[in-house]
Amino acid sequence: MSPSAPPGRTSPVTATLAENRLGVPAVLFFVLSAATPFTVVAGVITTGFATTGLTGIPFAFLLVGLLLGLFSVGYVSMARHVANAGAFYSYIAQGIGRPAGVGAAWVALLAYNALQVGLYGAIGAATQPLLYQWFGITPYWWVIALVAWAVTATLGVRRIDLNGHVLAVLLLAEVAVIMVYNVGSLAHPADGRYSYEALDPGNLLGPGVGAILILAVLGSVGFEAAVVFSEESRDPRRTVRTATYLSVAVIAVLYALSGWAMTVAAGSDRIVEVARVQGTEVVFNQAGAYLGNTLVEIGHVLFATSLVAAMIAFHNTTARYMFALGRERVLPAGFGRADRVSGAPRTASLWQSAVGLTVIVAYAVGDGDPLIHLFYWAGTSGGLGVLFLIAATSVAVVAFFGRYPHGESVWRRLIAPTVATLALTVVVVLAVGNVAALLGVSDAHPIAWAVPTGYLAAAVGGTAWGLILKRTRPDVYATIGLGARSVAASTLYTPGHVSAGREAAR
Amino acid sequence: MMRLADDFWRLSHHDVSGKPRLNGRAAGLGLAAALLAELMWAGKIDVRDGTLWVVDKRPPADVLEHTVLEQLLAEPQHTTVRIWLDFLAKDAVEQVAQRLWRAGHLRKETSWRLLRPAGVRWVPVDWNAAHWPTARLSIHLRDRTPMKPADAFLASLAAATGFDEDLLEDAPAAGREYLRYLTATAAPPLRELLVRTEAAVGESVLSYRS
Repeated sequence: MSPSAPPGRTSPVTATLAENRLGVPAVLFFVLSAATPFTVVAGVITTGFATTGLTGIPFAFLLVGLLLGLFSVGYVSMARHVANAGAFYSYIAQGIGRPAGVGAAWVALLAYNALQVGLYGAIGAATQPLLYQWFGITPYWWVIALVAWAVTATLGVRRIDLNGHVLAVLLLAEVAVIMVYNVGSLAHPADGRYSYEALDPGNLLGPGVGAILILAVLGSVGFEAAVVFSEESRDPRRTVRTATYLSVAVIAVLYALSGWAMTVAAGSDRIVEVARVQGTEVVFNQAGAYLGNTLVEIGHVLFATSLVAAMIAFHNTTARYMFALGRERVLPAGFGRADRVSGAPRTASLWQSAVGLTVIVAYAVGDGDPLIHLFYWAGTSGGLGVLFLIAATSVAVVAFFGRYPHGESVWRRLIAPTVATLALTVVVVLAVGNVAALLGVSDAHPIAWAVPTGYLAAAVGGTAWGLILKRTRPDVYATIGLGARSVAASTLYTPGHVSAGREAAR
Repeated sequence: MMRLADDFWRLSHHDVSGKPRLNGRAAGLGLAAALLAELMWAGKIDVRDGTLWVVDKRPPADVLEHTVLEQLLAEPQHTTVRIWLDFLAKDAVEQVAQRLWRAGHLRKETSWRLLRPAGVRWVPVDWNAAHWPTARLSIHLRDRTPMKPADAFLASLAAATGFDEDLLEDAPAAGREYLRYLTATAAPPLRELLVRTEAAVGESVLSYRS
């Protein structure tokens, strides 16, 4: 036993370090604020109905919620034993192997970039009704997108994250308004009868099931973030675990309910047609019919703020990914430099902004459809990438605990992760087979094979780069997956030191 | 007596206005590392494998060093370098500023906004003295001339906290290589302190929230 502070006096060190400790509500709010519900309900679910022509999306949210809950059992357990717990590639590097970790990092860069950039395609559709109503103007979508881009780029470099309290208020408002909309829709079923088709497990057997599962994964992106706080939560064993389970459950139930309410109000046989005509306006038109214009206007405002909050959240996530990889020297070291004054990951943030600007300009010049071909295609492609990462992480959890049980129970280190891995493998196979259905194109369309091929190329290219590093830069190779801590491991321990990560983590 | 933290404070603040040139978290961690390094130089503590312990309990002459040593002695249950860096980082900017003030190197300046005091800033009394560490290290890094261990540590600490660019304006590429050499050849406990600081600064970028 180590000696402790004199009795009757709180230890100043413990007290000071505890000031920043987070409880379940703080972590939960952090995760759900980045989940930005209105973006999913008004943006993803409606365009999902329109593009896939499938009505089983609400059921897919419930199923994916269960699956992610099962996955989280091992995922959260492993978080306490790995460095850089915020990133899937770290799990894969430390569970499967460092070359696979670099492959996963490249897949992650592609996926999170797609998620972030795709959001620029929806901001036009979200704000045009308001701008017309308030000012009588209808700007081009790309004008609005460029304004949103400028805001995101500036905040990213100056390191002004949206204040946590502002995000919490926005989140509560979004959930409240969505629930009011749901009640309104459910109180007015089409033709006076309730259809449960959207929640029918039989949807699993229908065609295109892989597509709706990817959509549900896309809607759930963000649940993985709670583990970032594994080291700064009040009770490391329980806080993050509880917050992760709760966020997965809230996301699954809220979106399943909202999607189902849409099909009830429109009629499950007509929702696809309605969504194709009305786009992101489906929920607002339904609300307008029963609840009045004020609530519709509030909803429109929240949809816009939700999209901007999501842009900023994903911008910062992607920039931090690049920063961590720069610190590891897996990307050029310049990516690991922070802004001197603001402490923002400057180089990474500027790159992310450059990618966003390029894509907006390319779509504006090429006259691409911002909602379907940018927001929906990039978003769902990003969702597919995150699904690959989750599945690979699940394998990594099984492999990691196979080598180091770390005193975790059999359920947490073996049974739950194994079942989750098997189920996720099935989902991945279904998803890859249904990319064309997901994107709403024919099987022969170039985009239908370009998306999976792109991820394959990233995974293979990254793994190859990892193997090259092993031969040419053993010092860099030794610290792959350790994030900011890689510096301690690479400088203080000889390359190849088995437990470099855990030593550095002390 | 080695006043490393004083020089790091001067490096990380503007020589005329006293405004910070480095974000608060990184500056705090850098000053925390400098204070621990002062205790190492004085033979009071040692560091290895992420762990820190006191080797000489007799109080140092300097008041601030004495305070830090007292804190280390009062809580022997906390042994990792990382915890002490985090703890000391919280108040280090203010603590070191007060030491400089007691020695007559800084003065307090109250800024006013609409007839209300808006805050107190520490301003260097003599900007030549305040600029000296920056000038000294820049010249050494530019000419790649041998440095005293204390200066080599300070330059490496600037790199670890992310504002070495300021010191490398004249010759970035060659200077950066020299900095890497300085860090790699520092005495093992100092090198350990440097990389723990760099890791902590990196993690503060990754886990930032408002």
